[in-house]
Amino acid sequence: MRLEKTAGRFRRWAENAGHPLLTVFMIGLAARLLMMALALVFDSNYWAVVVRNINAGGGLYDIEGYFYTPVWGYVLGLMNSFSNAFLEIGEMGVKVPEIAFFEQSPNHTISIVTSLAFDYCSKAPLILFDLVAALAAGKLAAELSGDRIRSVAAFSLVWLSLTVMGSSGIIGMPDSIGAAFMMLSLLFLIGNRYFLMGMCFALAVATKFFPVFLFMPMAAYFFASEKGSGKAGLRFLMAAAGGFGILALIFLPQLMTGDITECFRFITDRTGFSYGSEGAPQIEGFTRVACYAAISAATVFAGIWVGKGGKEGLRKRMFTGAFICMTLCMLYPPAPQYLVALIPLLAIQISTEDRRFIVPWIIIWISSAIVFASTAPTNLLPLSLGTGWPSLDSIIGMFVFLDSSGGLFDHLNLVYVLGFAVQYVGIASIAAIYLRGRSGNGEKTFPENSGDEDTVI
Amino acid sequence: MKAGTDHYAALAIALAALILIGGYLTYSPGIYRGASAEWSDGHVDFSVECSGSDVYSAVLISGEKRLDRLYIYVDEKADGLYGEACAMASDGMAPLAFDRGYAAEQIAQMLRFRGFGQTETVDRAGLEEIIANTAGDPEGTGIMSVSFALPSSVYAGNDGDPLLRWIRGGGSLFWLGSEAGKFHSDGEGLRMVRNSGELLFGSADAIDSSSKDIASYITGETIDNGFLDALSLKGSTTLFGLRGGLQLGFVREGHSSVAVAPFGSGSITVFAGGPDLEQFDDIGQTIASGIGPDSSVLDWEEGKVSRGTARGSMDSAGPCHLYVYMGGTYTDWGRTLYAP
Repeated sequence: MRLEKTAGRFRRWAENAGHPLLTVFMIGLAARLLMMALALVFDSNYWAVVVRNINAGGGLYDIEGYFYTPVWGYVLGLMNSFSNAFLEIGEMGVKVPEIAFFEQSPNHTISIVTSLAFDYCSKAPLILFDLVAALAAGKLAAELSGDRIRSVAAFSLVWLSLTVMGSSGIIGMPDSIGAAFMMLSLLFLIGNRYFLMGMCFALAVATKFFPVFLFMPMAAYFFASEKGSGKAGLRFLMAAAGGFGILALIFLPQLMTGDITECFRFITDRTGFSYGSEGAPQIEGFTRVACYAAISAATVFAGIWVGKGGKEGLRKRMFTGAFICMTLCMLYPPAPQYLVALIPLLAIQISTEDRRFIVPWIIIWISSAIVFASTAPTNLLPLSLGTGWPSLDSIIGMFVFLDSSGGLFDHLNLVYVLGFAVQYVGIASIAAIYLRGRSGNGEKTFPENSGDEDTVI
Repeated sequence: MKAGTDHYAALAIALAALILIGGYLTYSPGIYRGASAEWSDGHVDFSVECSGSDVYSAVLISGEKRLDRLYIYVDEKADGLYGEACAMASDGMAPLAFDRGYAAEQIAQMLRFRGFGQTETVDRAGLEEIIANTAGDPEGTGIMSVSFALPSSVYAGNDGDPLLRWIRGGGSLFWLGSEAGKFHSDGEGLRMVRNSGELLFGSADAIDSSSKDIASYITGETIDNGFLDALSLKGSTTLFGLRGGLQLGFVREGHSSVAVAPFGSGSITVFAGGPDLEQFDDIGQTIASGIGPDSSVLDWEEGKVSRGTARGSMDSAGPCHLYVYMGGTYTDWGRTLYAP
């Protein structure tokens, strides 16, 4: 009942506000601009190293420092060229001897602190991809429901998600690039633009692997929707051409130099197959492999379920199947940035299928706040060095407290574990909603439709 | 439906195009960097040029150790002997485990963009050959060991070993990732040199390796001789660090993160820690800047250079050279400029 009232209030506000989308956009943008002054320096240091390696003529893989597929590296390369041509960001970071002892902690941190100018510059493109993911979610909600307000809701739920904001704005992770292309590929799939669908899907997978688990529901949708058209083969080839074409262009430099295995080092590093991996890293690695194997099997069943029901309700089944597959991906390992791929699909479920999914959205929002707070002292370092506030001494005091023992774990780990526990509650609540039976009735998402069928957002 | 997605199609194509352009710029950043110096009596005028935007540092250093070529020794049998080394080093820290071939490649890269391109990876036979061939005039030749054991044929813990004679004659030895000179191997088994500290550095406790807790070697205490800031040194561990010689960077209980110790007419440079990003950069800065055991920072300037040329001048009393680098903490270019 309370959810219905809230949804009703949102509809009234969105209908009466002059520019609801613009209002939400400005709120999210302002929040991001504030957050970008924070940085997880352990990661931002790596991005600065990547930029250094590019400037040193080493591309992405010749010099140590970049362990992902090239897409994010290319974005950093683009920003580097832009700043070389038009900006003057100065030194990207400095070593701070006073906090060298932070590196004694088992919690990943570093005493090299990136500058505010570099942090803003490197994160700026991620904000654009946040926006694209949110816009695509809004557009998809509009296409599925024919309701402008649901579209505004989906956009808002992505753009104002702390998980999405913090992943790009605080820790500067490229997950929103993958999420944006994933959502665009879904949009082009239901819009029958297969070449673009293949291109965007490949870009999504080449950025972050999670979208690959959507392959089966998407393929099932494709073949079910094309059944009887006589053009399935040709269109499949178009999709493949879009996908493999962009992959060939993306990986061309590494194919030419023989660095292609370096592009996937993050996989071997995280599955226990790297040099010197043994003991705990190997166990963790095998756990990941086992999880992803199980998820892969589950996506096959999701695909069968999507394709089996014929053309009626096919779109909704595909989005539900995609949502379930992505939710399964979030079971292990827990990390807020990984959830960025889930949030847009969750937003579509909330706005078009069942508003009760707002509960996991809120729980995940809270879990992200806790996880981001666990690294607060180091997150504040660029701000402290750039502006003098907060003082370095107070940050050191905070770190010493968080890094000190709280029993079984240190305080930082306690907060971290709490955040991940809440995250799992959020994931579990998705399962609970399915177990209690979804309403399956779009009417229940946002009470009364205003009748405005203009879906353009 | 197609018309409804036209804007998104244009957006997707634009984003993909931007990423591909970014790819091109990643591998062809097209930034020119250069530096030059004019030496006059007691004075040096320098200029730093960059077609992009960067920070630069110009460091005037006395007491050069000019290298023409660096050979990086990678023992092809090191992995097979690693367990034995760990067992033998039970009273201190065992050598660090890492991919030594990869570390050698990275060290070569770090030196390449700092203007030192003459590096080569050598195996046991190659090392023996280099020492034999340059024994007459080792000045200008450097050997870096990233392997924890040297071949018994060049070093077996005796004062008259070919390697030690080679260093005394003016050669430069560099060490990373283990206790310098602690082991040698004849290819079949490993031998430990119990007095390696005294033999190489004149002190039994010259090397920092007493604690088993790797985190305890990390320190924030700095050495105030100007090199830390002037060269943007970063590695703050003293594991396997040396007590003695010219110390640079960070210090813990007398052991430093980088140290250049004299040995006859030559030198032994010890880099503490292992093959981390910070250590790689410190190796690049130390070797490329031509620091010798009697070096000191005479003067140091830093500034910004954006799409143009920056100029500066310094007083240069006595023999010295200028090391110019850009990028600061994230050094992306360097050149050493010697007086004619």
